[in-house]
Amino acid sequence: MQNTLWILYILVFIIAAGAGLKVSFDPNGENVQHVIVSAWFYPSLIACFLIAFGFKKLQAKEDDKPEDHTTMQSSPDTYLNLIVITYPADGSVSQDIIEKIQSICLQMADERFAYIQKYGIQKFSEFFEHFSHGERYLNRSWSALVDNHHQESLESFQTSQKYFEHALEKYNLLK
Amino acid sequence: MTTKAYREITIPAVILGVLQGIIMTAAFVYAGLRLGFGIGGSTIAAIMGFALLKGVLKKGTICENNINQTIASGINTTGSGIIFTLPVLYLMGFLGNDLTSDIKILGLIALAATAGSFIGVAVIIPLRKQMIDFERLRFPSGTAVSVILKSPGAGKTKAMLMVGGTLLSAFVSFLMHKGLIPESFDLGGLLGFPIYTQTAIYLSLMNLGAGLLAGKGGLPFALGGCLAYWVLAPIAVQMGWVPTPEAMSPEALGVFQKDFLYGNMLRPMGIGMLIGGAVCGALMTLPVLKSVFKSLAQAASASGEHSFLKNDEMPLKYIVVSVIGSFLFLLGICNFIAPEMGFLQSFVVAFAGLVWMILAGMIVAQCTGTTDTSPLSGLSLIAVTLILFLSGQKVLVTVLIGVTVCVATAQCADMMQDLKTGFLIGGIPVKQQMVQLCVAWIGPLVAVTTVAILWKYGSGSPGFGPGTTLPAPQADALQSMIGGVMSGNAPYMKYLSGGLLGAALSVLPVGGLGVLIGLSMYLPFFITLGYGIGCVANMIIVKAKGLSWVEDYVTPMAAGLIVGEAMIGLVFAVMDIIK
Repeated sequence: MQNTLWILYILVFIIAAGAGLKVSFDPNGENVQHVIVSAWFYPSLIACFLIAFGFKKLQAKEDDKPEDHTTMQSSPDTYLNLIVITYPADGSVSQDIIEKIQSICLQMADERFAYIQKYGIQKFSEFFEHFSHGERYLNRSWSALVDNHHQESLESFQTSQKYFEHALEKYNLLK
Repeated sequence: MTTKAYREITIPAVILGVLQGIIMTAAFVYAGLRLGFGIGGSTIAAIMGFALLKGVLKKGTICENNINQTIASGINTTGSGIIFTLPVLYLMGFLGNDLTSDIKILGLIALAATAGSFIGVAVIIPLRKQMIDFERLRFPSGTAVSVILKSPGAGKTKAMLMVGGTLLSAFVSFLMHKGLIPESFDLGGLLGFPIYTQTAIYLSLMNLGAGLLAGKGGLPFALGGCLAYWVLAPIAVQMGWVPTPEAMSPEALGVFQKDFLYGNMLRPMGIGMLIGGAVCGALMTLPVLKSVFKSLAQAASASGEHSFLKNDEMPLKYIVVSVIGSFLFLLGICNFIAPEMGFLQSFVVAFAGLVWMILAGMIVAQCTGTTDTSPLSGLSLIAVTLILFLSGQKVLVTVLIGVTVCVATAQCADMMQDLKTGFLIGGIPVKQQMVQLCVAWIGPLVAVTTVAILWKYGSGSPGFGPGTTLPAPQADALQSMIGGVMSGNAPYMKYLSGGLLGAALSVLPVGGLGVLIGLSMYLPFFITLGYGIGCVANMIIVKAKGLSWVEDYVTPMAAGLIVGEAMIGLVFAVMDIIK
């Protein structure tokens, strides 16, 4: 259904944009322009909006279905749990561990559009914000470690862990 | 190993950033008047910072160097806004006649540009969260700078890939500057496509690198170009909407149709789509902005078990103060320059200028985030059209507000790239925003002074403008635009149809589609096509080798491609000045 809507949208959009080009430059005067605008541009433009809202309706319908993760490889809690358990229990920090967590973050971030589609933009932003903060502090930990500032690296590493745990908490409340 | 505080904002970083910023501003203003476009300074500043802070002072940290490049690029980016607007006052005779009057107007312009700088930084505060934390736009130049900053600990392979990419790109760019290889490859000619489809591939490796970094996120931009030039352009020609003057050779006709389609149809419609797409996109993401403001407020008052939640963003009050301050400043300008406008008209003009600044900031942030290109000139042309119309064709008021808008827009694009770099290396956003605010006044002062000096002592008489060695092409285009509006020939219908189409695209469940398709129509197709090849190559490699492989091997190489061309651009600009 979604594919059909996409094809339909593209076709109607081409018609509307074509009319837009003509509207944009009409050497024959205002009357001709007015006719073209009325007969071609606006109807196709309205059709574009209608199809786009059709998409939204279709999505809302799919969101009401029982949760399934077919559109995403893993749900956010899978990644966030994986991140949290990757932190060493003794609180130590090393470049290898940071890079391992960064790579999991990368995979989770790559699926953000599937999450937005699944949970809606508002719910998504509420848990993803903390994930992003965690990732930034993880990056800071990496930089400080490379700069030989172990204390800063450790502090940032611990802060990042707290952010990821908080993101998981938030997600569990929202889902 | 050390237990001292981690170096981030330090005196050496600030001094180095300011010095580099001042030198680059003067150099880039000159180059901009000569070539017609601005040059980004972040990559150069990062490399210099790496050499001086780390190499010479032996103290520099990655985050400290990030502050250095943030300051340097924050200062030099103002030049892009100034070269587009200020020279037009010289070309139209408002400046260059009387020293006392010149000093008054130049002082106002420097103030207007400073106000623009402040609001540019303020607008970014909520947008940072949306575009970097949530949408995670790629910001290719920002990513490239982070690769440079991270190079000390990135490992030998990544460093070699970056250096290899830099050398390759610098070499190709050098050959291009010398005219030894063409700027683009005429694929359309080879395949027998009509000239008006502009089917050529830009041989800039920087462009390819930006596409490689953007990946699938940049694909709508490339597809928009294909739609515009391979579908809509042939429709327009076949329907007979493009004039076909008689007594023209087929080749001359092809070039005429190409220029006509681009200049009179696709580009204006693209500008309209950028605006419509941005307005509608902003409405669609209101829930996120609401969440952003909520979290900014919550982080400031976090306590108890959530006391680790840090307020790394600039407080909301700065946004409010900047917005109100800029509005009052614009209102003051209108009253001071043109008291005959009256309070109501001045209010309307100032309000429109402010709203446009915020909107244009959102548009450029989205465009640079995905494609690394900024539609600064197009947005400024619209700003000038709008203000000229609302102010009853007061040129001086229009250009002064145009300066504010232009600088604010350029500042938004630069700040967002810097914040992306900051995210990738773990910088604290509020520190970057603070230093950029503190140096916001330096760039306007240097850029305005440089333009005034070049007018007085430039190569020709007058110092710059058409027919001299500093043709100031952007200012010339703005002058034509002002002339067009004053004679009633502004392409309002083109903007309107584009705006409605952009809005229709933004309703779709693909973020930023209206802005991206609009940008693909606004830019010549050869840029879009070269960028699209990079996007597709990235997607193929992700499929074949995985995301981590791309991050480890493709990202450093692509970053090098961006850095190499930027460096050659700077070398040629400096050589021009020395000559």
